[in-house]
Amino acid sequence: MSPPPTGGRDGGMSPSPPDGRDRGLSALREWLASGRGLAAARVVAAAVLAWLIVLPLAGATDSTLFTMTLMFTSVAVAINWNLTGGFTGYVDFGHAVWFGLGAYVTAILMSLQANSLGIGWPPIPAIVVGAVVAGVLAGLIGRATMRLRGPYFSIAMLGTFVAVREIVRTWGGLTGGGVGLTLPPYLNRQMFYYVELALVVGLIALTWWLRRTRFGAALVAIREDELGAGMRGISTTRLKVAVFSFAGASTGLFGGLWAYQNTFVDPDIAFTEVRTIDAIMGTLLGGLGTVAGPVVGSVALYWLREVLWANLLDYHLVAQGVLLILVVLLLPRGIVGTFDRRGVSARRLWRLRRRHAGDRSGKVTAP
Amino acid sequence: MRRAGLLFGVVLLAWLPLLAGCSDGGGGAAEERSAPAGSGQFAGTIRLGAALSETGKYSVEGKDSRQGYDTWLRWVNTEYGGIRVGDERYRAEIVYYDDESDADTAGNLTQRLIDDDRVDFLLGPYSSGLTTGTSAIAEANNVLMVEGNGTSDTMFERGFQNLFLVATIASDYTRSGIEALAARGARTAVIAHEDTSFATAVAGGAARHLEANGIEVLAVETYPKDIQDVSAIMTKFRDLNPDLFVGGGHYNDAVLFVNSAKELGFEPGGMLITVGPSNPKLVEELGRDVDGVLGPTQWEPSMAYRGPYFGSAADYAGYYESLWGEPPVYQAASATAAALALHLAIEAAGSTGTDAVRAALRELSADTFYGPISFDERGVNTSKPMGMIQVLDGDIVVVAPDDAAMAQLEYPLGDGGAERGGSGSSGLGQLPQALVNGIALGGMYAVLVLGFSVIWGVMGVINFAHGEFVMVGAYLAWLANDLWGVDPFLSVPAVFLVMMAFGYGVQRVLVDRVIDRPHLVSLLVMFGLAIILQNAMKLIFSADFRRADTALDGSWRVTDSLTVPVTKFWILIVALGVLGGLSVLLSRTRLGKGIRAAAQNREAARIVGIDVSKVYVIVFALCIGITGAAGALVSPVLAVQPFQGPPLTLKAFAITAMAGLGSIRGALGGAMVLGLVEAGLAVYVEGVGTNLAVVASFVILVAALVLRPQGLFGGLRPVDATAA
Repeated sequence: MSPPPTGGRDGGMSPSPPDGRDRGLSALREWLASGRGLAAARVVAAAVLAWLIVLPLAGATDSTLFTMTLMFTSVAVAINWNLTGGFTGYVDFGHAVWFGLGAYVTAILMSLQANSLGIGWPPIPAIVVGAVVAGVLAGLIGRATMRLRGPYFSIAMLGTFVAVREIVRTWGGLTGGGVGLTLPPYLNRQMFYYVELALVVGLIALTWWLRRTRFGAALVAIREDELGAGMRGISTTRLKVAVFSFAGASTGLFGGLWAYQNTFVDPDIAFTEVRTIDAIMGTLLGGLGTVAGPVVGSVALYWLREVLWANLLDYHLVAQGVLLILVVLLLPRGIVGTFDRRGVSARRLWRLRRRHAGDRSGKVTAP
Repeated sequence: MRRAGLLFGVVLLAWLPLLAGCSDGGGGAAEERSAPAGSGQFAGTIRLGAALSETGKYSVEGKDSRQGYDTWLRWVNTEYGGIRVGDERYRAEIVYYDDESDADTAGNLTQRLIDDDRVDFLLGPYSSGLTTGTSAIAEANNVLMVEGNGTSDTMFERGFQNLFLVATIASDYTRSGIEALAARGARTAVIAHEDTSFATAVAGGAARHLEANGIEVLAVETYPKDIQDVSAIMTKFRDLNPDLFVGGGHYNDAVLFVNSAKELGFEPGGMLITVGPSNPKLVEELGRDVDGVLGPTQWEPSMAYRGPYFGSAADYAGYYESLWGEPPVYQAASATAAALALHLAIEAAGSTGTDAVRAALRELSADTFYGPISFDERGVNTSKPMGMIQVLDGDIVVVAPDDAAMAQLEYPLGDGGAERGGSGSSGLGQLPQALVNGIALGGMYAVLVLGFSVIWGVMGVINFAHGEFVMVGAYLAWLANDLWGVDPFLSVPAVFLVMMAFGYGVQRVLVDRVIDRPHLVSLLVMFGLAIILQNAMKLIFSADFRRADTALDGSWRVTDSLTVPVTKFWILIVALGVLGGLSVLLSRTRLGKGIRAAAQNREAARIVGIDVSKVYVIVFALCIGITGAAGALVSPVLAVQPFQGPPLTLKAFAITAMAGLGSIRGALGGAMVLGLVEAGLAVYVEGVGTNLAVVASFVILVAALVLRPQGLFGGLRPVDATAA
């Protein structure tokens, strides 16, 4: 369906003229974009990383490490979601399906009982195969669903998520059905902490690098004007499916690690909508289409939940809905995006894709 | 100004449940962190820890478990005088955390209990899923966990040394009942079970016990969690004509089984339902229809068990009620018994060392109010048999095992025994019933999807909170039914008006702000609204399943293998009326012309003088009114609960994407196709048909989008889903 014709009250594409509040913001933004600001941001990031590296050695308990590991997981899923949702503009409402698939493949390969294989692989190959299977399936499904645009893609992915969960539930011989599978309990929290920390740092570095390559520019071109990008010789289908497949594999990897740590999977805990919702919320809160956005947003969301909402009991879910609405309407660029203009506001996303070929993607040359 | 209005509206929505929910007790009465006792006499403190669900889907059972633990805590510190270790008395303490019914959170909190709170022992969480995850953490950290509310067999097949279960394991739930029924001459049985961990373990055990007692299992059917319609399963079972029906998963499934069996004329000699019959709510809800139904129970206050601690089962129930103002359910008794078993093992060991207490637990052999407790090598209490109750004249009466029985088992029920022997009807015999089921389902879907389709077609807004508007309408009808006894068919017009007003408010506060923005914005805003509505309704009404009563119930029996459900028939009639009415409104009136114009070309409509904003307000309010009224209409058939919305939204999306945006004929056609496909799969596929029916709509959705992005029928505007 075509979006409504232009002329709405949100009409203009250009950033709104600076009023009083924005002037302070833009001063801050300029400082951040200047050499000194960037240097300061880098120092902070390096300090945080150093702190994260010494944390286990400084006597943090297993419980703290476990909390941090769960946080790394949600950060990683948000980064992966942002690769398609933020960079190419394809908003995936079923991203958690790759997490569940990675978790299940790992569990099937590692489990000793309860399914027909019973091969009991060691963890590393099992987790790697889980990621590969998730990536390959993401490539195949992405080829079909990424022909759809806008909300159709979103809902098709949501449908895929639910369908895969039911298939896993029904295919009892392999997956243990509704009963699920148990894995050998091996809980070295420190090892999981360092593995996931390294992976998350690697993912951040990868997205940072991606933004600076022609490949990354081509992805943004797909978001800004897919037709125009195609006409300039960018193989849009190949690129967007490739990045979708990579995101699926990466989320599948974290799913496998999660299954290994949880020592137990069943369809409802491996495939939970909450993982998709958290990835979307974290990315929106941090800033869609930015490198730091999903990281900042997910961490903010995690602590918000832990510190502020722990006392609200059931109200925290209501508060989460309110926050989602407020962020979308009032802070469409997210925390990072408010300072970093290279991000994209949620409200501009679809608008941009209708723009006339050639006015923004001019700097992109064919790879 | 607009922002202030938005903020006000959203904040108001958020506080709505708080205003209504404070009468709910505000967090339960059990806020006693430590028992008040003269601390002077204690030599020290033994610290236990438990992650329990105060929020989320297990919040009710979580509360019962906590009251069970706290009953023991109060008793051991005040009545008993503290845990005796050697010559000293120790005060007991329990650290609780809320696991939000979530596996990650439960694991994290268990780790926190071990590392940060340094608990000496763990008590179990509620549910098999959460116990499976947390017991692995207890095992890896060498901390003992004693529990009574996670009974799935899988977690005891892992060779863990630190996990002990005082309750009967899931696979033995039906054992005593099946033995009693076999002794009374039952020879054939069918099984239907939810495909979750616990229910599958129960059903697997039932199949084994049936075979062992010489009862032939004619068919096994599975169905997914939160099932809303079991008529296909019951249709198949009716044609097999078995002596016994064994089934279950959740409380709501019991309601569905009893209603559907009655509706379709399926009358087995005995109905053994694994979850539900022991709950007095079921009798309250179904009245006479539930008479004769059998169910397992871990424990009942009327059982003849007694022990040196707490006295008899009845004494325990009295003590419990004096603390909490309500009688104990078996989940609470299991929790108390778990804590008591740990307590006895500590005393026997004379130490709080893990190895000494583990050895003492292995050796433990105690008679308690809960029954005998002694653990096998897996850590499972095998000396306590499962009880079996039967609903007799509206009373829940223990009928097995013999030493706990208070009345004789009634079997077979009714006149069922005489004409047994199997009608042996073939596949063709089920066709008329499958068609009737499918058309009835299609009629429901048609009226449920209408508002979604028209809002999308006219306004271009994907109402992701569609299912939640259905849910709110259904709650209104249920409330009117519950408070004043209004038949839901009669409250439909009133619900329509109330929901129209609600729709007007939502349009002015939220939708109006996002209508000109890209889809992602409206999608996310409506999604946020959906989360708010779900959880607000849960806070106000709890997550219990509700059902409105209508006078138009029962069924018409056309032939032996064909019955027409009366309620669904009338829903279909009303649905066709609503569809026809809206169709006339759109095609024959001036307003309808304006609506169609605004849908086709907003700018042109504006130029010719149509107030498009006004059209949008009217369309949204009207459609939310229709959607809420549809919720009211189906409230006697679909269980009313806070989380019924999302599957309905997805189905609405599937039907609309298949049929065309805003097309009324398409909505009816698409709904009928989906209804018939679901009913056909459920009836004709063996074993997992009902599961496949649930997947069907999503497969249709994805396939329809990918293969035919322009939609199957024409609509108010083209679907055009292809990328750029």
